[in-house]
Amino acid sequence: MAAETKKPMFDEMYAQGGLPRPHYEAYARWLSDAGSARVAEWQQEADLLFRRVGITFNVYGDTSGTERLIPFDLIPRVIPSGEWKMMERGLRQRVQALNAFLADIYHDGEILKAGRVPAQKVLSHPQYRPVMKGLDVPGGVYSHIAGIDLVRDGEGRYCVLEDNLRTPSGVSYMLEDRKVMMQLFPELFDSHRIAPVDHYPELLLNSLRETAPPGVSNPTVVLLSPGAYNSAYFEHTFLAQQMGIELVEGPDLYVQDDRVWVQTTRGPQRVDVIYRRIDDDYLDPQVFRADSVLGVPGLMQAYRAGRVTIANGVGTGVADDKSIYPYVPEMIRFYLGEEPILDNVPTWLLEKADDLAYVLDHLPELVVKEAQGSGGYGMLIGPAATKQEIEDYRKRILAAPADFIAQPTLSLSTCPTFVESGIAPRHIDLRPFVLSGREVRIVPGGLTRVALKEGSLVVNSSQGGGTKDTWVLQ
Amino acid sequence: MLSRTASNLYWMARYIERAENAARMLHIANQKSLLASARAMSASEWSQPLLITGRHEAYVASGREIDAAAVTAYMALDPTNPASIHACLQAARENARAARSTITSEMWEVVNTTWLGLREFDEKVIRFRGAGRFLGWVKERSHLFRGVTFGTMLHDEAFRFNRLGTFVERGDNTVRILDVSYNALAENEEIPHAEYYHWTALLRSVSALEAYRKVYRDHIDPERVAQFLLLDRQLPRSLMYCIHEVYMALESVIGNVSSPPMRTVMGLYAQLDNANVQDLRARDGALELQPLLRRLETLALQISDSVFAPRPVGSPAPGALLKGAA
Repeated sequence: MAAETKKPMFDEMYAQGGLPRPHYEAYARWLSDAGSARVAEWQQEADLLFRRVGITFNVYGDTSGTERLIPFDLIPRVIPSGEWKMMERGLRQRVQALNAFLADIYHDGEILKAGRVPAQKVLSHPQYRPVMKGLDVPGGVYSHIAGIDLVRDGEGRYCVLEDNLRTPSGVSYMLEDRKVMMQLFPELFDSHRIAPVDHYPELLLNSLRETAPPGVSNPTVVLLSPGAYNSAYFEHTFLAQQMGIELVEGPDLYVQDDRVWVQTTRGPQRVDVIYRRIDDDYLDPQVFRADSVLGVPGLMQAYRAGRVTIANGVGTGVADDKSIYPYVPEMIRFYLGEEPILDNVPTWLLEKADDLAYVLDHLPELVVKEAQGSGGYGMLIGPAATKQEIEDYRKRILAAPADFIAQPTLSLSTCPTFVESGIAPRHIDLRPFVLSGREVRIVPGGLTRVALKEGSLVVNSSQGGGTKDTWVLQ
Repeated sequence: MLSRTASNLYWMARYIERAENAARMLHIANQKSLLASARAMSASEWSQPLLITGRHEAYVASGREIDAAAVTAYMALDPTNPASIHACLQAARENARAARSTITSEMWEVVNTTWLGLREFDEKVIRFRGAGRFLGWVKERSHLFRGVTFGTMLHDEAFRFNRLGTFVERGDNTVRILDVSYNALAENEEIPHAEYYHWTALLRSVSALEAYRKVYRDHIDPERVAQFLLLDRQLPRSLMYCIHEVYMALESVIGNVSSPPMRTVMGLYAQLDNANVQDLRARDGALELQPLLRRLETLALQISDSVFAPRPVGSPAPGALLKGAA
């Protein structure tokens, strides 16, 4: 903890000296007029609204019929227009480069031949799917929906912490947080010019339809979910309902003559685009995990025949892996000939002897992560760890250094948050959702996640994180 | 629409209707116990909700007393009783959750807040504040569900599966209530005007007392009660009405008149259309409803088999499936 408090801390609302930043002035005044007793009441009201609408996530093994609420904090994260414009350009650039990278490594591998990204690392990666080699996907889009996690360092500089190119989740919270805020505080939406986000499902549907197999004029899009016991099931039903498409599960689909069909009450209907929310490994038991009951036998054959679009595409995991992440700036330079607008967080790859030696010497100051982990599991946060935890982790690293990466402990910016003791700063990040179809589309803002525990840097909902509404001012 | 989703919609509606019917039965038993002296309110009266829902045997086997408090608790809140209001509302919510991308947000909110609201009632609350308040709440939530369905959902295929569930369940329930209580009169001779209270309670349990008076403008006669509940074309809880609704819903989702459920429902309709109550009497004069109940059961099974049955493993050709579903 000591190491952390020494670093400069960037607060979203208050500048040093305790005065609100210009874009937060009106809100800060409103908040202090309201007083924390009112805030507590609103918080209760908000929780009731969320329960009523059923915005929940499932906890595996809980059958009580009362799913857990993701904590919602009603103090918004506000982004001034200029900052957002810069972020938006940076996100667009990054996702274009990532899609170009995926198209490249599943075709000619120019970037590997040029030695800008180590070929061995890509081609032997467990998420590299040889079944994708030579397959042309519509529009060259592999990651139709990308969730790019941004954080701010002690100086307030935005950097990319992580790319999520497989099945990024959380967008339903972005939409529902906004709905609840508008219901509770219409006056704030009167007095601020806040960019709307409600059209996200429309943009998503457009992107999915645009990437239908060539020649299909009125494509049928379905959302493939693992089912009601999946932790993100609420989001699956929500998005399907908002887009007006069918929510299907593996057993509802089957493949015949290289086409995918859905069993309906009026017989089979052809499916052209599958927005899938299940991992590659479970998609098709004939190609991936044979024990998968969530998938559709023969799906990959239809995919390879170009008869169905799978979104996100298969094999995107190789590009969002933490060990490939350090090379994304190179991808931007290689494919777009531009300098990255959004920086990476400096990253040590422990497979490199120099990096490994440095990291082992500085474990108490660093964050070490499994290159293939996600959801905030299995990481070491040096400054918050005990000596024993550090030593245990050291052993894990030494056993397989290539499985780990390390980054400096970012202080992450804070935002005032309503907690038990009143209103106090808590660390936040931001996940904008970048949609790729015929063009790249981004709704302003994204999902702000907040670590509710004091000092905690882990914002994942599976680890007790909450969410906030994100306002981009116009 | 997905067969699975259709099945979820159908069962969501059935379970909501079933919860309402359980509330109606309990409500009537409670009303009767207020009218009669406690002594005269026999155990047989309180076994009726158990008999109608087919839970009598299991209940007796569990060694519980058959009295107002115990039966009410078992039928209202006991999660281990699959026919309890609690179990029905939970099942309705599970089905709504699975069909959530098809139903409207308003419908989901009604089903979800009903399930959440159930937590405010426990055995103590019901005992001290009276079962009536709880049972009235259940009925109101069911009314609300139907209203929000009618007023917010596209009146499309999904809507018809929902209606199908409501009326399959309701028709079955009306016949069961009649079957159990019609011949149960003799045992309550101690109560003054027992006959009057028996028939008015039965009518009230299906919201048909006021309608009866409007239609017949005469005293309450058992034969007419049966006639009314089975054969009336305008009473929304009569068997005839329910069968007609089932027929209309099935016709629009299946179409094909030679499919088994269509044949069964048309047969039922023709039978009721030409019937009068004498035809339903056995030789000893009792109302003989078991054959009707069995046909309703057959109908429900045929609906499950031909409309909701999951596609058998082994991928039959799309043409074959079309035929199977049509």
